[in-house]
Parts: sequence; C-alpha cells; structure tokens
Amino acid sequence: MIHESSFRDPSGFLFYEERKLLRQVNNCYQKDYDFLMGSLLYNKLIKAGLLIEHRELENHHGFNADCYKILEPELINFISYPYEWCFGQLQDAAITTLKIQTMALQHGMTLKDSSAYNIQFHKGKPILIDTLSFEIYKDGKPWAAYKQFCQHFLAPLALMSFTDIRMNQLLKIYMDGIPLDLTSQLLPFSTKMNFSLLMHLHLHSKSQKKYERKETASKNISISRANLHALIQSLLNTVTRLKMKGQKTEWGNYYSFNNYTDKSFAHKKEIISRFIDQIKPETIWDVGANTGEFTQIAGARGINCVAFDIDPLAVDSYYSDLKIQQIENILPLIMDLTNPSPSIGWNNNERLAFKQRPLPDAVLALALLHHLVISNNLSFHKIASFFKEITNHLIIEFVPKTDSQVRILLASRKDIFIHYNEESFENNFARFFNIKEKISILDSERIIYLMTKKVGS
Amino acid sequence: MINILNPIIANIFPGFMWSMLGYIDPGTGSIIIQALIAGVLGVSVAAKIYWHRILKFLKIGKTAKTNDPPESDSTES
Repeated sequence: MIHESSFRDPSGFLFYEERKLLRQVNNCYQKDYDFLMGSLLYNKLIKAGLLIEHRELENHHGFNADCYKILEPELINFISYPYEWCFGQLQDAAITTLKIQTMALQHGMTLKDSSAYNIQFHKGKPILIDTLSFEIYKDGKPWAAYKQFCQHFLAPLALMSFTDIRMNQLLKIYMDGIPLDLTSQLLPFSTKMNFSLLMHLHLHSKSQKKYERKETASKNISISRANLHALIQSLLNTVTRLKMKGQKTEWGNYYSFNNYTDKSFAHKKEIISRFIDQIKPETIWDVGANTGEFTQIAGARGINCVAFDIDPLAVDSYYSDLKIQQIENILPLIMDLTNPSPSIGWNNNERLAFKQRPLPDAVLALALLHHLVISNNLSFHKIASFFKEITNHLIIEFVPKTDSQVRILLASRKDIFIHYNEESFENNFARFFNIKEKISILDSERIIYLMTKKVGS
Repeated sequence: MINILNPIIANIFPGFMWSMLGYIDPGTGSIIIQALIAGVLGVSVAAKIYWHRILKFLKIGKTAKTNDPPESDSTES
C-alpha cells in the first residue's frame, strides 16, 4: 500500500510492505539517484547527520514495473509536523534544509523541493527523510524550491518572530506553507526596513501576484552558481538571526508559581519513578509536560518519550534544554489536548491525526486533569475514555478542589463542578482501567494513580 | 517597482533554456524575484571581495577574511 503522503514526486514513493516501510526509486530518477550515491555527497550528508540512511534491497521485485531500485530507510520513532514544532525546532529544520542545499550545490546537486514535511526529528535533531529530493544541478538553473522554502520556513518563522508566537498554527490550514501575500499583510511594517525580509517575503509576494496567471518566459532566466550560493547564504543568515517573539504565556513560568514544596516535588518524582519502573514501557507520552521536569525521569531510563504541551514558549524552552544536554530520546511538541492535530491534506489523509501516530506503552498525565475538567468542561468519563484509546498504562495525578491551582481556576466563575471529587474520579476511570496503586504526595493534597487498561476495554 | 525592473531583468540575465526536472511549481514570480535578489547579492559579494583586494593592494587597513562563494564545481569521481 502506498504511503498516504507520498504521491506527488514522480521520482519515487514510499510504500508499506508487511511491517516495513520501503521506498521505490522509479526509472526516471535512475540518473540522479546514481549520481547521488556515486558522489561524496551521500556519505557526507549521512556523516553530518543531515540525511536519513537507507539500504538497498537487492532481490526485491519492486512495487510496480517502473521500479529501478527498492530502498529501506531507517525509521523515525515519531512522525511530527511543522505545526507541532516550536520556534526553535522550525528554525533548526530550516537551517538543516539550507545546509543540505549548500552541501548539495558543492557536489553538483540541488534540492528539487524544500518542504518542511521532508524534515523529521531523529535522535533529537532535524533530518531530511526524502532521499529522492536531490537532482543533478545544471549550471544557471534557479532554485525551484525557493518559493516553497519561503512559504514553509521563512514565512512562519518571521511571523512567529514579529507578529505572534502562535502563527505557526497557520501551517495546519495551509498545507504548502503560509501564502506570502498573507504573510506580508500580517507582518508589521518595520519588517520592510529589513533588507532580507523585504526581498524574500514582501517583494517576493508582490512578484508572485504580478506574474500569477500570466505567461511569462521565466524559463529563460538563469542564475550563476555563485549568485545562487549568495542567495542561499542570505536565507541562512536571515533564518539564523530570527528570534522568537518573547511574549509571556500563561504557563511559561509554571514551575516558579505552583504549590509544590521541595519535599512534595521530590516525593512526586519518587512516585513517578517507581511507577515507571513497574510498567517498564518502551515508549511514553507525557501530556501537559511543560518543561519536562517529569519527562526526564522516563528519558533518563532510555525510554523514547514525546512531551506534549499547549504552551509554545514552554516547548521551546524545553527543546533548547534538550539540545544543550544533547538528549536524543525525548521529542517535545506543541499540542492542545482539547483540540489535537487533525488529519489533513488530500482526502484528509496525508498528515496523520494525533491518535493515528504510533501509540505509546504508557502516558503521564500530571497536573492536567483539573485543566481538562474545570477550564474545558470535560467530564471524568470523557477523559477516561480518551486515555483508554491511546494507552494501556496511565500515570495520572488527581488535583482536588482544595488545591490552590484549582482555586485560581474557579476564582472568576461559578463552581458547577459538583462531581469533581476523588470518588467520582475513581469510579469513572474504573470503567476502563484497573487502579493498581494510588499514593498521596507529601505536603500536598494531590494523589498520583497508577492504572492499567482493563482487558476488552 | 517590478515594472521598472522588467527591462533590466530581461537584459541582465542571458537567456538559455533549462529543463525543469523538478515536480513542484517553482512559480514564475518566485523565479523572477529570486534572480533579482541573487543578482543584487552577487554584486554586493563581488564588491566586498574587490574592495578588500583594493585595500590590500594599497596596503590600507587590516587584511580581512572574506567569505568567497564557490567559483567552480568540486567534482569527485
């Protein structure tokens, strides 16, 4: 079965076979593929950790008659999308794309596309997963992927930098990057004083508008290799210098303002450690992870973790920390659990919904429940049936009404949550889970539960 | 501004046909602006290089490092 998102490039495609993901290289791509593999470029990219490695399958019959070769690429642990990335992740993905293009040009090749969906996070770093993105460079030929780069990378980064940190969510609506005319309108006037942004975004947008639906002989335009290199370096400098708009978000400084004493914090960590050691999961999702204080307990045990949080600043801060510590097994992502990533694209099938990704062995849901119930009016039953669909093992924190954080949530509204109590919580979750253990955190009124999904649930 | 630049674009860049092997639409407006920007940047990079060479020749100022773009293919067998 052909992969849902792999149908646009005639050079080849990904397909599933039994439990494997393979890539067919079509006959039309033979020359470019052989050039890539025969040059030093492939090995240099692999060594620099910029391109996903693959092996050629010798005796494979091919998916169809157009087959030149079958490749088996190294797998990515967790597929994520640019609208789920924080500023730092999108910026690093952009820099990776431009570094690859620079290296490719030095070896007589060029990228024929620069989609953000060709980049995935692998062992903590962005990596190109589409081996067939390269084509032989012909002297004088402009960069066909320039428009795509500006829409997929430069536009959202500039918007997150100068307009609002949440602007990357526009990538969910615009599958081929944010349109440049919209970007130009949304950016503040001061960005027109910046030479690079003026050229690559504002004037680029005007040029697009002027020449759309017009037959113009752009095929005669040539750009020297040296000038093309200068263009790529200009994009690289522009992207690198952008800084995330530093507004304060609701949860950015969460761990400075909460009701844990040192003793209760330490005890909570101890409980989580013990519960994780009991489950021994291979993969964990931490939902509402903030800056990963508890994700790191799983991460330190070599467990592959995905840390979700609604707050883009918290995710960016966590990503920066993980980079500094060179941690490879934790991937932080932006996700609103009350409105998680939908499946989008052609036939609503190209990019997978949150629940369609490979599900984890265990989920950590700490300091989260009261937000779901009180801020979002969700019932315990709804929350329990959500968790039972995504995991077999659940470590969840119950936060009672007497807790100071809950009192803050209820401060400006009528308390309609008459069923928000420990007994109701346990009864509703017990419909789908067996409660294995519950431990009260010292110096706190909160309780941590260890639950396992019931068979047949 | 694009109107003024049209004749300049047509004359600066010598035309020759290149084939599009890629599959995505590069966008006519994007190609044109790309050529313009690359041209402007290329001129400024060249100016920087020659300015440093002139200064060096006249032994004026410090000998500065330059970031030279690649001038020829690096071919490997």
